[in-house]
Amino acid sequence: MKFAARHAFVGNPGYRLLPLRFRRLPWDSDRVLVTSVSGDWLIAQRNDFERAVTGQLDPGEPLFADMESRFLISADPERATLAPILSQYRTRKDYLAEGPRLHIFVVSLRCHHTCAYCQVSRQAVGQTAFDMTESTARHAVDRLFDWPAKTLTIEFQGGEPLLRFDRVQQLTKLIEQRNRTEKRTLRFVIASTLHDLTDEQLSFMRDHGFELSTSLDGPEWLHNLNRPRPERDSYQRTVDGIERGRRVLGDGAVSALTTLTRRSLEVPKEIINEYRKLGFHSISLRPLSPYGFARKTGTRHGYTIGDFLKFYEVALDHLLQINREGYFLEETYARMLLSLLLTPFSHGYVDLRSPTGAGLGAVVYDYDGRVYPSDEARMLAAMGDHSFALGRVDESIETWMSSPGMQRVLGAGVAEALPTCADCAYVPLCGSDPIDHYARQGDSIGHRPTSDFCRKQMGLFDTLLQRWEQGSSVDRGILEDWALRATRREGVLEAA
Amino acid sequence: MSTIEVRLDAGMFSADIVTRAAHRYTDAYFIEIKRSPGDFIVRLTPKHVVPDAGQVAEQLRNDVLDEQLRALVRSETQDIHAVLIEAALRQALPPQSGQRR
Repeated sequence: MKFAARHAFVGNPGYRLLPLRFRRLPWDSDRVLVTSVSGDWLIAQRNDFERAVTGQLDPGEPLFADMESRFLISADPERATLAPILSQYRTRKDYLAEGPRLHIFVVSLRCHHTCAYCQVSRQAVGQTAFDMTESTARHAVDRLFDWPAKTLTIEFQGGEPLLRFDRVQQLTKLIEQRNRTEKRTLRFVIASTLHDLTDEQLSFMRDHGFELSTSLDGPEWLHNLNRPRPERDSYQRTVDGIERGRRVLGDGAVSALTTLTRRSLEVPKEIINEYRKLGFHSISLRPLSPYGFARKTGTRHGYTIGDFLKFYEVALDHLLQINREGYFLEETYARMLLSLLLTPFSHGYVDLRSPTGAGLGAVVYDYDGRVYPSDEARMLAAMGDHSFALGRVDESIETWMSSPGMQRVLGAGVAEALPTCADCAYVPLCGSDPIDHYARQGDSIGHRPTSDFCRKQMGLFDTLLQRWEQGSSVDRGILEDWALRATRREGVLEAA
Repeated sequence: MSTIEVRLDAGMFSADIVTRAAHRYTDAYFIEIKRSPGDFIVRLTPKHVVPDAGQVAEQLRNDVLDEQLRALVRSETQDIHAVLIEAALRQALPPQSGQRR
């Protein structure tokens, strides 16, 4: 037996480019972020990157090995396999596999509050005509199990869902009863102010494994300003509800979200310190959305995304300081973006998917039996614009998926195919949000240079990447810890 | 507010590349692109007061170079890009009854 000659074992010394995107770093325009189709990335000198693109990279250079290991180039293209990058891509898009996992049941539009920036069309406490009927509830449960997802997150929302807790109980029991044969994994979440929370309600929640998601906008003066009640005790009621919820359901079962008004942007440290004082280990800093009543009062409460990003940078620095002092406190959106940057995994957050999570990752069953692909679509409908309505609960999910509303969503739902996004280095880690663009710009495809969604995403990715790249080893460790925790808490933000 | 004019060598850059680069400035500027015999002339008129307008011309020139590089990447990778995405998504679909992946 003769071995082949030595040259038969030597591959093609050249290389070919694999699909990639790049972006000059805003804090150093001589360097670029280069991302692969599946979102793996490196940072290189722009000159070196240009040599790579123009075929001048030497196989002995460190950049050659780095680009090859991240599937940005393929050395010896005649022999190389694409299987690893296919696997990476499928892992990143894993959320596509099972259809919607987040199912939002709006049991009532009634609410105690009169928040000026409210994102929904709340109704007065006595207006019971805005409650979900039993017939609607039963149809919605039937539709819930028409979807194939093995894990179903059921979020009860309003208005204030505690005002119609009997319907929450009925839905929970119907779902659990049906699940005896379906054998899905169920997760119940209730989004509530936690005002007027009773012991009986808490007992029911404990027995059925509920998680609580509430809103806490910061210190007492700010929360009461943002969320007025006639008694001016909104903060105290929410804090009491948080404490009682923790006692019965456990500390980890109660989370809070922050809605940021213009006043909030003046006090990032006060807001964060309030969360620390109350023993939270997560905070969600969300800018106002242009929906519902929030749009009508936008001039009074609104601000630009540039203002939000300045606020966020101060908030992030303060959070890092608190973590350096030994108290763990993460920002949930940063956690999600960092997990996308620093790990290869998929995620459960419906707003950051491509194809879009609207209708493909989440469905909303409204009080009146109408169905929407997202809460934002429901808010638009409440304002009289039914462009994204899917249908009614007594229709099939196939009817919903072929509805004109869903076709509008899908027509602008793939970020990689959208103008400007198609060339963006962050697009493998980002999502499309056609309903947000429709709400803000009147066009579901949207104009990226003036898109608030795009500015927010780019600004936050840049901020986090810069902090990670230029931060101390301690700060890098903190940010990496947030990212890794996200992979262990998949789906937590879905309910946000 | 004065219009900023940038001349780009039409022998080096295509209309597509110039347009793609100029489009990035449509948030703060009205854009006009004209063709002279040897150049593309890009005129940027501020929509409102722009604090760092002094560097816009230089930034646009850099962006045109970056678009040139993107065009190179596209021309070399667009076939494999399409094949790759199709293969990945095909494998993500559940197999039809009676079919094997």
